[in-house]
Amino acid sequence: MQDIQEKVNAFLTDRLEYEPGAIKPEAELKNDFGMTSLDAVETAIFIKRTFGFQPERGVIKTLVTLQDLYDYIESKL
Amino acid sequence: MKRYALVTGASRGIGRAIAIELAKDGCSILLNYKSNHAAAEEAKRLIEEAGGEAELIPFDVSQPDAINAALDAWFAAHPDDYIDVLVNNAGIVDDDLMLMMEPEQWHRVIDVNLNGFFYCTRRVIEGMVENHHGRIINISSIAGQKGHPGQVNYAAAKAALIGATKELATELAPKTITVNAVAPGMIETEMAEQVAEYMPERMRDMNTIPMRRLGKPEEVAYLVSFLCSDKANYISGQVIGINGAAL
Repeated sequence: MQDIQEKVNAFLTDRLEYEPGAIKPEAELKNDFGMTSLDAVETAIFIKRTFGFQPERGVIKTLVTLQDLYDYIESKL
Repeated sequence: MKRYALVTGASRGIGRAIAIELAKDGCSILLNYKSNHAAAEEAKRLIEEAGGEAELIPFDVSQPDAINAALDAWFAAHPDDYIDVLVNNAGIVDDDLMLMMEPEQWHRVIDVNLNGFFYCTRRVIEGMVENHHGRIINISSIAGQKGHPGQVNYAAAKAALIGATKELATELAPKTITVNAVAPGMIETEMAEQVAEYMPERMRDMNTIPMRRLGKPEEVAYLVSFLCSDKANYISGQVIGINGAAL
């Protein structure tokens, strides 16, 4: 899980340029980070590249918190 | 890192001129064509003669399975690369007055000129989004901006490309991907000759071009080259005519 968290956090801060100080498991993707539809698509591309599976269409937008994102990825590995 | 540019319909005419110009700019060209292998080889030779490089990637832009198969193979062979420039140029005409136009003529022209844009772009933009950079140029036409008899199918497709360009530009702007349309007037190509042959009225239209001449494919290519350069970073969602003041 730690590996997932580190990679996801690095992606969110380096590529999507979300505020590093806001990276907390309970942070909400949409409300706290302002994740857009296109950011969600880019996140799906990142997951495919980094973790080797293709997220289901539209699933990223259904995740509420950053912890949900970690858990989703872990559940698929 | 090489900068790859996919130009559809690049074996002849405007597409070939664009491919050559982008190669001169340093892009490695993915030269798409449907079936004219000899013309594609000649275009590749001209690119290499100009000091550039190109690889042939044949597929029919109206066939999504063929596009995906060709590009899947390319991406598999280039796992660390992406296509930074996409020029949706492939197009056909099949002119007739609407009263005479068969549904097949309508659908075929829409399939190649409009649906081809969707299929190719859909497959290519993932890499641009991931890399936060890209250039998409849609080759529209003055026919999409101004009425001409006998081209209701072509005009509909080219006008739709303009709408799609404006919309897609807003979608992709946050990832610094620009999307623009280039709308040539009458250009010296085999397609213009084909149009003129079927529709003599178009030849008379030509006499109304204030510059009193046809455009050259290279002149369209220079514009595309500029739009693909860093000098055009802030230009997106635009339709730029190149028509000798005909509009």
